[in-house]
Amino acid sequence: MAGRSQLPVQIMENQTRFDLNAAIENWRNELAAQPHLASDDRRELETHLRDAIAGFQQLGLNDEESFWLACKKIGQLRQIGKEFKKNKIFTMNKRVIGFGTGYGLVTGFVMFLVGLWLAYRADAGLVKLFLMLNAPAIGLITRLHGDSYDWGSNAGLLQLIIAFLIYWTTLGTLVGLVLYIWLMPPQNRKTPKRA
Amino acid sequence: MYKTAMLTKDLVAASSKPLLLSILAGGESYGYEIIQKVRELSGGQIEWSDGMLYPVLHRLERDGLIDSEWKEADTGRERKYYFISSDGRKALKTERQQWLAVHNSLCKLWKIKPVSI
Repeated sequence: MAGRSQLPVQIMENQTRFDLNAAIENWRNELAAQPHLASDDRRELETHLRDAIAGFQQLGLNDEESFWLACKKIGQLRQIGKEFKKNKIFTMNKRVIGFGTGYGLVTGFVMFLVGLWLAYRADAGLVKLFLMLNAPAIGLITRLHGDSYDWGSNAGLLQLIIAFLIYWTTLGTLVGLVLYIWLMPPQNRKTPKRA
Repeated sequence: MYKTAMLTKDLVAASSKPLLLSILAGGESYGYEIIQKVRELSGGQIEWSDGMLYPVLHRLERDGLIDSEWKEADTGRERKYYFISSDGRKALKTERQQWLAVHNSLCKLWKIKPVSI
């Protein structure tokens, strides 16, 4: 009987005990546990949560009701994390392919010019270094043609250029991938331009 | 009283781009305000999950159709405001033509007066 009579008091106490800041803090921790959200994304979602809470409070709901309704409106954090992940993967692919291809084409061409220059200069040390750098490309050609490969013909030169481009583009894509993961911040902002 | 049904998930997803671009063409805005505006415009028929709005906004931003910046609001709270870019305006024009083409086709089929494009 005594326990039953205390129940409404306990409920009231629970209501007054609800700490909105602590609840937001817990929500923030749960958000931080989502691996694909950058700090900027988390900040934006928290701002939204606070706006939604304020909106419900203006409608006359108490802190607890406002908080839970705002959480419900925002949706499941794991699901949101998945959506952000989709964006991230797509952006990454586009950047890596673009960077890798550009890098590969430029370096492939530069290496070809270096090769021509070395052929005229014929410095043994530099030629050796050049051959070492391009070993996979040169190896590919000699593997395809064996000793009969004619380095001096136009067709041979074209094949050499193509082999260099393939080699450096592949290498460039790999370097691009490593650089992207290592260096690029999740939110690589560009300067906003208004229309 | 007759109550119009909520939009299907596919239709909501397909209409998100023109809706967002149209709202931002009217002036810069932030996530919560955009959600409120869509709810108000659609009379509650279009219900976006609030959290799912941001990946869509970020996708549009990635495609160069909108831009964003953090700014302090009147309340003193910082918010990320989105605004339409010149490419976004062009994309909106195309979206508008496409949606009106669908709309007008349906109007003809249902014998309703179409809208000029």
